[in-house]
Amino acid sequence: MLKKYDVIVIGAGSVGTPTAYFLAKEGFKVLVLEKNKASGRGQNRAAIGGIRATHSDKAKAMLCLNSINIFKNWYKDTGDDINWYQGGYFYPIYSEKDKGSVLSLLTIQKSFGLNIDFINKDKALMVVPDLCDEGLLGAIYSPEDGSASPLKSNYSFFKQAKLKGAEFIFESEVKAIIKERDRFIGVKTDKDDYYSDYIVIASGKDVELFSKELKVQIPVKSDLHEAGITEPIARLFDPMVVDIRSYPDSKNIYFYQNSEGQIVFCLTPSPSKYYESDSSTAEFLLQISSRIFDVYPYFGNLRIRRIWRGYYPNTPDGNPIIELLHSNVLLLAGMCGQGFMLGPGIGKLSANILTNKLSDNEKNIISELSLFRKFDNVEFFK
Amino acid sequence: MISEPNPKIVEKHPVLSSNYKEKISFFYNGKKYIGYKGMMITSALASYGIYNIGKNIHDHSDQGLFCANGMCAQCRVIADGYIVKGCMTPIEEGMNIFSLSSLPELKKEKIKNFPDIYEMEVDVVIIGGGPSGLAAASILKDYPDLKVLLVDDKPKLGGKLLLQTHKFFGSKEDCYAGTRGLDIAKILENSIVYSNNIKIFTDTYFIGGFEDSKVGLFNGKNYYIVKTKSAILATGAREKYLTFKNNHLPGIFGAGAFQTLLNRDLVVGFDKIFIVGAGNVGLIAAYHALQAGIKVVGICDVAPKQSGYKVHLDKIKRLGVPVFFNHTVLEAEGVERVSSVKIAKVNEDFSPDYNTIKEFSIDTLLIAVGLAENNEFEDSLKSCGIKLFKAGDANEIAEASSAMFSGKLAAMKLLQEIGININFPESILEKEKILKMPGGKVYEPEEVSRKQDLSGNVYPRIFCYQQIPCNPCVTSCTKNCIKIDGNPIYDIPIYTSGCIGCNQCVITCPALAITLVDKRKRNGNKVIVTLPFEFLDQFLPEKDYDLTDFEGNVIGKGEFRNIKNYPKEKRSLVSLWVDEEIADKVASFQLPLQKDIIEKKYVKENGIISDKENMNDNKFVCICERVTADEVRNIINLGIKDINFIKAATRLSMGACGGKTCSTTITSLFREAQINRSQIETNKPRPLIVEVPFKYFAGKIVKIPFKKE
Repeated sequence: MLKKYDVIVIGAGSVGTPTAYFLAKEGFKVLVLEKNKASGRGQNRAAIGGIRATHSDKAKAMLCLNSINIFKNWYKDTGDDINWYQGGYFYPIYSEKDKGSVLSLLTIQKSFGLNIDFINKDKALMVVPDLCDEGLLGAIYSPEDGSASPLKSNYSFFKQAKLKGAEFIFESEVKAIIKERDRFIGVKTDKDDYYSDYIVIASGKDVELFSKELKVQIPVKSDLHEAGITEPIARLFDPMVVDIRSYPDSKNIYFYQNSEGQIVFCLTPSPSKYYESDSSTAEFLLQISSRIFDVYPYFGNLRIRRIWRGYYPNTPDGNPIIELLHSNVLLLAGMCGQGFMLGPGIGKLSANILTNKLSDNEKNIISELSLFRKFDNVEFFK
Repeated sequence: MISEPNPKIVEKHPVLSSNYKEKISFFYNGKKYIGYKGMMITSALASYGIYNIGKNIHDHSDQGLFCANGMCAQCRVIADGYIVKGCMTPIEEGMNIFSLSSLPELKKEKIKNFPDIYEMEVDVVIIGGGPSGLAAASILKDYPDLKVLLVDDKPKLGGKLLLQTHKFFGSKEDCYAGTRGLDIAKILENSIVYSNNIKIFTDTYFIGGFEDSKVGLFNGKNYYIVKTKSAILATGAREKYLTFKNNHLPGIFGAGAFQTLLNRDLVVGFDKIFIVGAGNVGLIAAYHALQAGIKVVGICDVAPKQSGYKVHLDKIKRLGVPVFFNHTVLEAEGVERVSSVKIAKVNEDFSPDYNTIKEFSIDTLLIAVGLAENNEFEDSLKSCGIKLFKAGDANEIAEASSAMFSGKLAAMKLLQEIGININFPESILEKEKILKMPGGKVYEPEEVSRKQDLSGNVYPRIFCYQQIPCNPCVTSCTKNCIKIDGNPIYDIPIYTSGCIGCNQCVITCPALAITLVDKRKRNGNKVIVTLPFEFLDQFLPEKDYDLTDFEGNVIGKGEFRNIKNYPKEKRSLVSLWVDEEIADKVASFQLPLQKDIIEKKYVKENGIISDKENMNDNKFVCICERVTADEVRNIINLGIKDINFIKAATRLSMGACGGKTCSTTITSLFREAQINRSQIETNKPRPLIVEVPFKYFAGKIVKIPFKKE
């Protein structure tokens, strides 16, 4: 029997799962194919949970504003608690040079309508008490950003997508796209063939196959990042704290306190690491500890519970790719480590693309994030 | 809640003696208590009967210790401002301890000098200094060029051997059979402690494996990064947890935790215990309880017979412990601490029969439903580029006697692998196989008795009817008249003839399954039967001795003749006048301690438990995060076979224990959904195995040579 669907979504990760939800909600008969044994087992599991709209690229900022709205109302809409916490984002500034660059960026961000501003040292110390104040000039603060649990969110998107009728097949790896004359009509997995009117590619860092199958170059290269989580403690501060200073072995670090009370932290290594590995490095614990005290001096007695590693599927300009190819293959790729915060916004946009209900704003977003753009307008907080 | 003005610890014990010297005082929730220097916080509290040591941060219900082994993290308290595991942190003079009832405040300190981080290179890291780790080291010590680092998370080497007050099984020449576990630990430790190529780190946690063949170690003072070519995983096992209603109540813990509290820390904060599980761990725990004067109100097991050795079962039945096979535990009850347990018979499909509920009043419920290998870091260590060898329980759950063998084997395999030509006798493989065998065939007593020579005036009666790897009776007999019929250490011992009544076999038999019948002296129609006894004299009956057969059935009365103590063996021989016609059947007498056990019976109509109630209750699969069985069932029903997803969805295994407790309970839920083990994606463990504060990773790196102090 021919297995026929309206839409096949490839990948049940940070992007594929919410996309499946919004498509099913629009009434599409959706099939999600996932090579792992469950949803969210690719890089979603490695995401730390930060959600911000305060990007330097307008399209990305708009997508994330939509995401924030979805995350914020999710509990009310579905009854599922995904640990949304609107604590804001906070970039302490310790040098005139950094202050200069963030202030020039601020004007652009404000023009997008984002709630973001520079606050002085005293105000900064009110937002994050106990912050290292030596050389502190102030901070960039965006109170409407926040965080949620990537794991609980993915579970909820999965559950809600199923409730809306989406079908998920796990342990099913896509091996080829089936082509008939000029049209892509379905996919071949290691187990079976499936047919559909639309194909949505949300395969995270694994895009090589689709580059080949669609005969387009998808400029995505993944690098390794490491993250960790501590034991839970009583609340210390609300926002995601991002230290943008560059150190010899790392570009930046960021950390926040999730709604369970745990501090979640992440470091961007320098130089970037591009090899495949799931093992943690011995250096990570040392690197993060050697610089976290330069931002927050009181973590000495806080116990680290777990560390892990994940990939950021990067594009050359740090912005994602959204492209409708051959009028029925929607490519959602290169989330640059921000798949979790982009996912719901992109999912909703995808539903509007396939139902032809795009607003002018959305049309602009798509054209800015085209696969065929020049990739030369590099994101500031990449 | 305070039961004693002073801590209650074992004052007199047939086997154990106290090393506590200095009394110190500490404060718990503002109140002053007395403890002994060296006592862990949870033990010090338990010696006052305090088991309820905090509230769970998720549901605010009471919680107490479960493993007493540094694994489960249920016992976290705040000591002098720091969050610590109570079972791994010794009390100190004036220490201020507070229970945890909500998210703790971080102790904010600006640290000026961060502790150094040590880097070291070795050839082999042995993780775990229990029987298998020590045995592995005892082989590697003969290769002086090999740099070996042995790490153990406890202050003393020996692992669980230190808790084993009973005489070991196995064979005397291979694994110290007939010697008590805690003495074996000393022997093993002495065999390696003076070797220059074996460096020993006690009180040191293995934190995890890292890229480029590195492992992280933490001893509470400094962090170590050790580069190693190979490792022996000798991390033993942990106790499985069980899901039943109110399984989180304080006073419910692992049988191993009980042995730690009692046999290591000499705590006697229990009066009446019930044990779930009739494997060797549960059966031995019952015996240890009795030795300390603790009443064992019963043991239940869902299986139709014991999974441990029959001699262990018979031994405790003879002393008067009720054993319920085909029974499951339904629920525990209690306020602040468990106060009763309900069990019921199971039907053929293992569902409980609610018309057969029995309730016992208790203060402690021990879970002894088996062990799970501590080997989840195997894959991650391998993927870090470390050659890995597993030994002991980490490799396969078996007796400590076989763990010692398996440790030696692992060391030999490692030597071969790194190109050292060693003599690898085939017989070792054979013996290891025998030693790890579970109890084998059970023979009919009559069949065995027919083979025994019961015609003389003095002879041993051997109540040993199951094949087990054990032979000390053979090696102890001064006249060589006990032989094993079949496999030299596995089969049943048979007495032929030639007994001179020296009692050596009665003194030695680890199972206390041999008596001596002596008809050379008579008192009317009574003859002398000599029985082994491992209790204080005060536990002897006052007047009448209720004699039991080998399985505990009362068969008559005996009259006290005398008692002889053998302090070196820590055993006594009680000799009784017994009617000649039952003399061959007498195996023991009931302990007065075990009299008057009250069993309340219920039927379902009393409204105690209904099926519905039983389904929607707080049966926790994950005690840290308080995840219930139903929450997990709902996810499995969505077609999920990945434990990592269940973890993501429910926070199961994301708590302080790192999934060490729930990994076993969750497999049973998959089994219930008819998903077998091979289909399940198991929990992927990541460092850190135990939580370590940030400050230990921020110091300067100091390279240290491998040199023994």
